[in-house]
Amino acid sequence: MDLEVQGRIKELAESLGRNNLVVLLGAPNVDSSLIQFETVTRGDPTYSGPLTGVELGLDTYHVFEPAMKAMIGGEKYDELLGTLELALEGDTIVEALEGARR
Amino acid sequence: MASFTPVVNGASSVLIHAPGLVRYGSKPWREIQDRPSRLDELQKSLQSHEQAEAYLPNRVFLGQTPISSLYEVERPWYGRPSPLANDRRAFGDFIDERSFVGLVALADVFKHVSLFEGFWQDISPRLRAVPLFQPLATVSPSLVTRDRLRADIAKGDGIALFTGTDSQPIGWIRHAHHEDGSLTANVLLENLCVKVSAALAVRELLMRHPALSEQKVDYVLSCSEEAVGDRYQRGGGNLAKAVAEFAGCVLASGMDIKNFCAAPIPALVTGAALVHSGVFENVVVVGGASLPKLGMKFLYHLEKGMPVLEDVLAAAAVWIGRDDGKSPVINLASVGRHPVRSGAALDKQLKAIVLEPMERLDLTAASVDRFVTELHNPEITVPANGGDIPERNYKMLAAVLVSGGKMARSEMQDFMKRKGVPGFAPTQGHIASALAYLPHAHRELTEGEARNCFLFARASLFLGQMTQLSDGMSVLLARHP
Amino acid sequence: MAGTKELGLAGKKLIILGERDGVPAQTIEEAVGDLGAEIVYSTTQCFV
Repeated sequence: MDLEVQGRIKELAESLGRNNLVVLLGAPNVDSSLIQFETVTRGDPTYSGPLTGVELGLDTYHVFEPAMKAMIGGEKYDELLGTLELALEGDTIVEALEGARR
Repeated sequence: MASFTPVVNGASSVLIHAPGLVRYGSKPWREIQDRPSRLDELQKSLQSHEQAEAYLPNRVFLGQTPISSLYEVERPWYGRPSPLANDRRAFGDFIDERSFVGLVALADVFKHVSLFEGFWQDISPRLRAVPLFQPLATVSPSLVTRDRLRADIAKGDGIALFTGTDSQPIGWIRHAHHEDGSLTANVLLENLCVKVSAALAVRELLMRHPALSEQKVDYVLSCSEEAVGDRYQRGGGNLAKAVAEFAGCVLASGMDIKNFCAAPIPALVTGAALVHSGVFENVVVVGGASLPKLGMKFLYHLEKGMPVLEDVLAAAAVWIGRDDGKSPVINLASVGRHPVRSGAALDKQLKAIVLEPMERLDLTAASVDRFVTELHNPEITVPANGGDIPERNYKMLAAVLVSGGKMARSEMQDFMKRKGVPGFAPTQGHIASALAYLPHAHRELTEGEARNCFLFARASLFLGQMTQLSDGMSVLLARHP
Repeated sequence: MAGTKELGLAGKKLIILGERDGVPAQTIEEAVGDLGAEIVYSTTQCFV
């Protein structure tokens, strides 16, 4: 994840508190989703940014996850995200994130 | 007003091997500033000139090997020389770094670049002998002794120039203004690299298409990724005219077209519109190379034990003129644009710039032979967790075409192979964005069998922090009827 | 999936990390804009 982005997230976690923050991801594949998930929960896995060794543990979801889908609502979800989910094989991302949370 | 059918009369491309300049790519520069030992790691993983020249995607880029070989040759493509295909004529040359740096010094009319005199003695005979370089090498650069060069570099008012992995500097470039962030040595070098590479692409176009002489070029449109200007106007522009001047197109003027990586398509459309309307007879669209993108993914490549593959600067030029009875036609009725309200997502973008024009022209997927978009070499992006960009685009496009009723669901599986183009371009955004395909398109639509190709490109406007939107544009090239 | 059943965004502060080739921030903002959360940071990354 971009170092500048990591810096902003760290700052926000410090100023707003970790408990109130939720991170929403729109990454296009499993690898990218996992790296971003790791970075904002357990720390930068590439050991290069401000979140290296910082376990923010933020609540993090990909927009393709069922919980998000339920909140957004079927019709709106299909219109905005349906085709993207299909073409990007969203189910593989959902599965990978479920695994990463365990 | 007059009406002329605009055609693509020709196209060219060049690659410049630039291992000594990789350190000045944006990512390597930042990393080396932060941790100087990175330079050593980087240098140990650079390809030689011969390796880079024989690298399959580079051969394909220059038209020396057919695109189909990307499907036939297994990866990794690096580390095994790809042979030249016998029946192939190139679109342009693979240029050595020493000649290029010499040309950078010659293109610097304000003499901010100084070269070590011994280096100049070595390279000037070649610059004055090779037909491609000759017209650009009519002046002399500012020269310094080895001692003076060391002293200047030690003062720290600029940056040293190197070639290959040689630790001895062969020149340096000073800041043009001490209080102007738009005229630092790094920015000047970036802009000079665009100017020289773009001029080389224009020279290749002139050399390979004798019907286009320097004097016949009326207007140059630059769709390069740069910002030429000063503290009072960053990105003030008109690199196009600087390129026209350097390339010897004395009757031409020009302007720059900006739209992030998508700029080549609006430039083609604007050029075609200028020809169609009769405003100009011959327009050259040129995209110069992007120095900041050298070594962009180098950390990933080092980590995976691969060579640093982003070691080439790339440029391409296209000649748009009036109907000559044989060249591919630029169909201005086909132009697709990406309206504000479409949003930024790829599927919406493709609906706007591909599906909508297809509907307007009453085309199905079967009536289009090639869909051409971002042709980034996957061997560069996959190890950096970026995925295969062309493949991802084609998957999305197939889904959009199916949902738009332009294609059957059963055709999705092998869509990319049938209708797409696999990635071979260096990650120099605008060059990869369809522009790299223009010489191929010209060949396919004249000597080959193709009926048409649909070009489209995407721009990440949000990177400039002024909007969350993206942009895109498309245009159809068709074989001469 | 742990934790998601109770997920509600009302009153939360959102960090949106979109991606050019995936779901861009603007699309995510549109999708969750009316769920009662405050967007405190929204960006789209581009890896090419």
